[in-house]
Amino acid sequence: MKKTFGQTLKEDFNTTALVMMPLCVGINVVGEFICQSLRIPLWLNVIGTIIAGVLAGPWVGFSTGILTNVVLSFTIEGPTALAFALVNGVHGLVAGWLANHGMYRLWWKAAISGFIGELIQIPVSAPVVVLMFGGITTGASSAVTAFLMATGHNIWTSVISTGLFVDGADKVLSALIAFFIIKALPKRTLYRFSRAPGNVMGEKKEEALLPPVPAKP
Amino acid sequence: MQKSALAFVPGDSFIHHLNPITIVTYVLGVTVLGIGISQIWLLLIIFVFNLLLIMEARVMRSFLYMFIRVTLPIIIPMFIIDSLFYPGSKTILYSFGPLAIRYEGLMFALTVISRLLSILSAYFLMVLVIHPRDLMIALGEHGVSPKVGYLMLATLQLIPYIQQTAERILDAQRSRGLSLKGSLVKRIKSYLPLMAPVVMGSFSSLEIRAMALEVRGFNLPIKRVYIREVLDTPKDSRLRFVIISGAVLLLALSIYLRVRA
Repeated sequence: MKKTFGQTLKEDFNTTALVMMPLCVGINVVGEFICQSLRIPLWLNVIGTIIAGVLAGPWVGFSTGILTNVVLSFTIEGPTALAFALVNGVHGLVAGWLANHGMYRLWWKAAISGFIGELIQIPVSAPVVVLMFGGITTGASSAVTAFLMATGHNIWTSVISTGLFVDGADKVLSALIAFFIIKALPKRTLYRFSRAPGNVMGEKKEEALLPPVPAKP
Repeated sequence: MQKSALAFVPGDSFIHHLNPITIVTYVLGVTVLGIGISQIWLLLIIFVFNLLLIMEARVMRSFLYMFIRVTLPIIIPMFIIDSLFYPGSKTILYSFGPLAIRYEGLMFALTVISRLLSILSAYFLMVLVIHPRDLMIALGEHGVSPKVGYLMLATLQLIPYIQQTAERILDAQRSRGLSLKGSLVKRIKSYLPLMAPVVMGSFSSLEIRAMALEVRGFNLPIKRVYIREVLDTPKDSRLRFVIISGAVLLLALSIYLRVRA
């Protein structure tokens, strides 16, 4: 029997997934914090979003990304994060969708999926960067954008090529880190998510393992 | 750590007593206007109006502190780079040596900056006068699932906790000889031993948290009640109507002016 979209959503957003989402937001924040402590000129702030997407499906990943930026906008960091909420969400969506197709079972496939996420994210983020921030946001990659613009490139070309190379490296690294962290999670934790057994270990989702769904009275 | 402190400033002004949804409506209206309007003077009027509201709410000091810290690092480089190097601009206004300020670039920079100021100031007003808890209660009373509220509030509580854990792990690993300096590759390599314990530690509490919630009836399909009350007065709904119609009128005015020009 094929499940409807609503049923799938209900399975994906089980209690464990709902509890995991705030944790993943925390991982996003801490990822960026450690990245800054090590003075790595990247962000690494979508690791939690990717983990959520891989473990509990694209829509949980999407919501985790949105949640991250909505919550951060209420802190003293300021609401600029809200402009990029959709961007973060798209990473979770793409990671979850690719994981459903087995892209997070091998490390090099995970790296490729990180880059695919960046490719899909560019049409979402470039308009925000150009139209709202004039091509410049805080962060190391703005220096690259500025350099490209100063050497006579179109503002869209500059923003998009910065996205491809600098942010692409960032997302590949994020996807790899997320992959290794998921690999290290205990199996019994993975079994509590709807998608993790299939996405991470390549097991067919056996109905026998799950408790029978009670029929509606 | 300071980073995750809430921006909310408690107060007793007229704006603090509004329903959070009214303020969110206002912010969304300003966002639509900010994107739709392209006249600099109109955008600046919106910005000044936001400043008046911020003054009325008596949160000017926190606003200036946050606003300057967030926007200056964006505005100044943007202004310099766009006015000097904006591609395709020809009309030279002022030149010194090899550099020249060009008209098209300057106009682009000014438009983007005034758009940024008008939209961002509204969002700053929102986060300064609304406590996320009140927003969640107000949304819950308008039919949004209480799970959304749980997600938001649990996240707000969890972030400082995870950050503390991260700092502890940073110190612990450093005391074991993990180097935070060196070449870029070396630093990236020491990222994983810092990150993995944070994630493992927080995921280990996952099952307990989930079970605790389920035991307390988290999934029950019943209506929730709240200890805190968030009022939604007739004044709020009238104000929402005024905001929406005002936004539509302003947008129409902007389009009319652009078509006529």
